[in-house]
Amino acid sequence: MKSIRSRLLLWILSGAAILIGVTGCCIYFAIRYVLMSQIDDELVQARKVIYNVFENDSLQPGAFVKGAAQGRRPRFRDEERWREFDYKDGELLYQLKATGGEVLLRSPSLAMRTIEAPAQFPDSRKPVSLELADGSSLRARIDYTKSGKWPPQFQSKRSSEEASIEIIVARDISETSQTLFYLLAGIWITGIVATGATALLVSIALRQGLSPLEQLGIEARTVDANHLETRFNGEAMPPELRPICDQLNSLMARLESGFHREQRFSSDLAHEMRTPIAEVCSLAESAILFPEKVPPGQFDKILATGKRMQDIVESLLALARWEQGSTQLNSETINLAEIVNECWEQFAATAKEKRLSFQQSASSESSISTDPDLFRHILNNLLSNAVEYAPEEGFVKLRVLEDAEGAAIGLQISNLIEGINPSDTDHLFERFWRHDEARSDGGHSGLGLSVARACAETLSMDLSASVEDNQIHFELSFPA
Amino acid sequence: MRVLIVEDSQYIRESVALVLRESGYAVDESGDGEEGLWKAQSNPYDVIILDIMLPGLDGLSALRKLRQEGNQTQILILSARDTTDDRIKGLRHGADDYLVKPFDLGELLARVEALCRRTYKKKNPELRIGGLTINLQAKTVSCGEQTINMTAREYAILEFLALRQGEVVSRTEIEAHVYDELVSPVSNVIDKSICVLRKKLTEASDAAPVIQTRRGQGYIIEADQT
Repeated sequence: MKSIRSRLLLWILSGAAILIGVTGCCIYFAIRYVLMSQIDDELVQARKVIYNVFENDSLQPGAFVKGAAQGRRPRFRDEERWREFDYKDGELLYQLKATGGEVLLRSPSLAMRTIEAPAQFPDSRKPVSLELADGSSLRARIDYTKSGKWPPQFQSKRSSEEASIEIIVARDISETSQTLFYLLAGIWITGIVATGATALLVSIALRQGLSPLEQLGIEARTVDANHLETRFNGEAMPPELRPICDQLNSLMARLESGFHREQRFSSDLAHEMRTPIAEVCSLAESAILFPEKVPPGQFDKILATGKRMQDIVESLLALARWEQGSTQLNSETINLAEIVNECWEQFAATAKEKRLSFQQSASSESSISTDPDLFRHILNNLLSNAVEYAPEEGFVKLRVLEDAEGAAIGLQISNLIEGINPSDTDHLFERFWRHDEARSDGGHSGLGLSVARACAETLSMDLSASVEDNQIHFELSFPA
Repeated sequence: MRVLIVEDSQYIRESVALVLRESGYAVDESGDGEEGLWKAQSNPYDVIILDIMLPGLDGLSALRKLRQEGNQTQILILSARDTTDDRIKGLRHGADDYLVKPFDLGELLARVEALCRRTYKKKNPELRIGGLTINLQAKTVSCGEQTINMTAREYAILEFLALRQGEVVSRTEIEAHVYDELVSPVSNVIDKSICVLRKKLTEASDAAPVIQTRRGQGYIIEADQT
């Protein structure tokens, strides 16, 4: 695709060339029309003189012809105009020609040249353009008249009584043609120069006008994965480009945030997988090196580590699926007390080992309509987290939140926790964030709460956390 | 040689300990930063293998404390943190080496051996004492073409004395470097082992015994026996 500048230049230049061309043509044809009209008027006057002289004038044609033959000029009323025919280099010409082609009379200005009328011409009242043998251009009017009306001198000896005389009155327009030629050449040269100048000016103007866009392009070219912090300076841009700058900056901010999140996630994932991979490798390697010394249960450890890695991968895949929003939901009415007890059973043994007490307030009447699998996933993750982080001999409380009419509007799961700050709640739902930085404990992967929140969002629920008096509360709000 | 592993992953800790023990090292283990620091402060280790992300006290803090107290033990950081910045940070905190997880146990073993040699300022993995050649890498002792059979404990005692050639080494020091925390040697076990060692070495070589007793002080391999 052509650049904006070249396309604009092309369009503007084409427009300018057409305008200049049309203007030049108009000027040329207007001048030509005016000049030709003047010449045609002259021809009309000259024709009248001819007729006055030879047909209607009081002058005796015989005397005139005789005088003309003798080189004398009798005076008559159109004498001033008639003189123009007499100049040897005069521009006005006439020629009288008999039917048989015999030139009866020609003006001195015509010298010995002969005007050949075209074989056909459309209208005798309209002037025609002719060319003499010597190349002179003429504008002429051609008339025919009965020779009977004319004195005997004009009667051709070879023609009959009814023969006609061809009367050509012409004007030499070589000079006018040359003037028109110069005018046309001038218009062409002016047009070409004007088009060139327009091209130059338009090019400069476009360069100046499009320079902010070019600047934007140069800045945009510097943006890559390592320079996502780049922002475009909208204030330095013309008002037309500011909205684009704002949108680009907004896009860059989103890209930067997303890129950093993905980078952190990839880094966290790689880090998270390093330890179990190292475990599997070292367990297997030590078994290969000293097979007789391998303690019993080595393969169980490898299997357990493999399953932990599988859990991480499956959690990540589930997160991606839920965050994409492509999960098919199967909504049904579930009894809260039943599902809470069912989920707690998985953690009851661990809770007993830690001597944790479990209190729940879900009544047998409390129910909600939601996808049971995803809801179970949320509960499992929250309860697992509570059991994991509650100190020994602590407690886990599950409370059903109800509105004024007694309908369930949410759940709250609370447990005692040590060493957590209220500011940590900002990071609780981040992937791979854990309360204890020591990550390779073989237990939680740090994905449980991220998974729980993704599930809650899929179910249009809201999952939040707060810390108060060494207690952490997770609140799951059901959709209204 | 005595090594301490401070690593919170039980599986890695056990595997590394197994390989080190089978390679003749006395190995102590800890899965907690604070406990690891206490052990490092309490025992004379030749090498400490230290993870960074530890419960209780992180590895870098433990390392800094040890160096501030003047502990000169060779410390190898074994961590999943793999960036250049992490390595630089670890080494600048006073670590002598840095190995990223996942790792090859053979490489870890070679690095531990190199650190042990560095402790005793020995660059050659073969020590020559009189007619004896002690191969620190293969953990073998030979006299000429003949390899002398000895137990891991006997080899460990000979290796320790050889590495400290020219110095009188007390029984307590030998015990501290040859036995791990799980073993409580009876009072004369070192003397008995030295006695057996001398016998084996004398049988293999006609030369004078290389291990000398300094009554009331300990044992020595004289420096000029090269």
